[in-house]
Amino acid sequence: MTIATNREHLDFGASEGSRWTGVAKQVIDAAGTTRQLLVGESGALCIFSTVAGQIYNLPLIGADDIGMWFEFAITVSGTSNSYTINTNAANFLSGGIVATSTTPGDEDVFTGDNATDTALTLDADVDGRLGGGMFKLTAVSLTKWTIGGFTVTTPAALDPFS
Amino acid sequence: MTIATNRESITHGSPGGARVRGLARQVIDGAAGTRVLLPSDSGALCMFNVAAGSQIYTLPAIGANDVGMYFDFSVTVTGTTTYSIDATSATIGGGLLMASTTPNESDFIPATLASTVSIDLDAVLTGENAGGYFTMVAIDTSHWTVGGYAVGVGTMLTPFA
Repeated sequence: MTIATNREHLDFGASEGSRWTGVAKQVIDAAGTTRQLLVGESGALCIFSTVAGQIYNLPLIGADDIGMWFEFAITVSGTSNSYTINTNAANFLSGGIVATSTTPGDEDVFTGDNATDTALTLDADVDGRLGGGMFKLTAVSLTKWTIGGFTVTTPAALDPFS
Repeated sequence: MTIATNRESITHGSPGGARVRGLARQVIDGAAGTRVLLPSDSGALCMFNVAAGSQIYTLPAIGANDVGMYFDFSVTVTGTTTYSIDATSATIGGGLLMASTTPNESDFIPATLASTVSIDLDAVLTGENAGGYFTMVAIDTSHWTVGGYAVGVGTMLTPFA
């Protein structure tokens, strides 16, 4: 088991667990081009809504940051440039994403390679920059993020990992 | 609304709700063999990442105050034996998008709420490839529901048993 130890504890660690109700998460609707995400923003929903492109940079995963996560939603289809998520150069992408195509039979699945992929680049319709995509990235070790979710493409999907 | 009542409440239940940011969740990086999940592990991200070792997660029994607990699962390394999730005294409903890298072979496969007791990702056709991601939530004292996707190649088959 891995869980950060130096963070503010919201629960007392009771063996039966804890509960919460009515929680609202942070929503980051970053206009413009580049937004550096912070460790203290973990749990936020990050919106892609700028048709001319947007970039989110993930924070470096520190020793007490394993388990932080960010969710992403594409609410407006990009039309130029790219919707991009970059890791810190010392962190890599694992897991995978389902590319759902609006063209029958053109759906596909792509995965991060655990070792060299540092970016998810949705820079064309075939790469998944259409509205409707939603996915989550979680820091699972000092060097890796894992991704889960889906993008929306048309027609045939191409690999957005690099 | 159903929510456990005897658990430690980390909100005050104010009618306006609560807010939180900067959270870190538990990550369970499973070794080969069986890992019994606990109610207090609820909310964790459970990894399938041991290619050659059979990796099994056993879900906890759902007590009266455990409805709503949930676990996420991520396949980050393609398996070569078995990745499995076993319900104990409960059954599993919902279903998985079985995403195939072969064109036109993806399929949605439902679990059978009355009888499914395990999810077995034990071949490329049943979704043991890297990239899978799904969530299981305890919806009452005898049932889990699953949603998300598993990844494979070719004509996908049911992972439910």
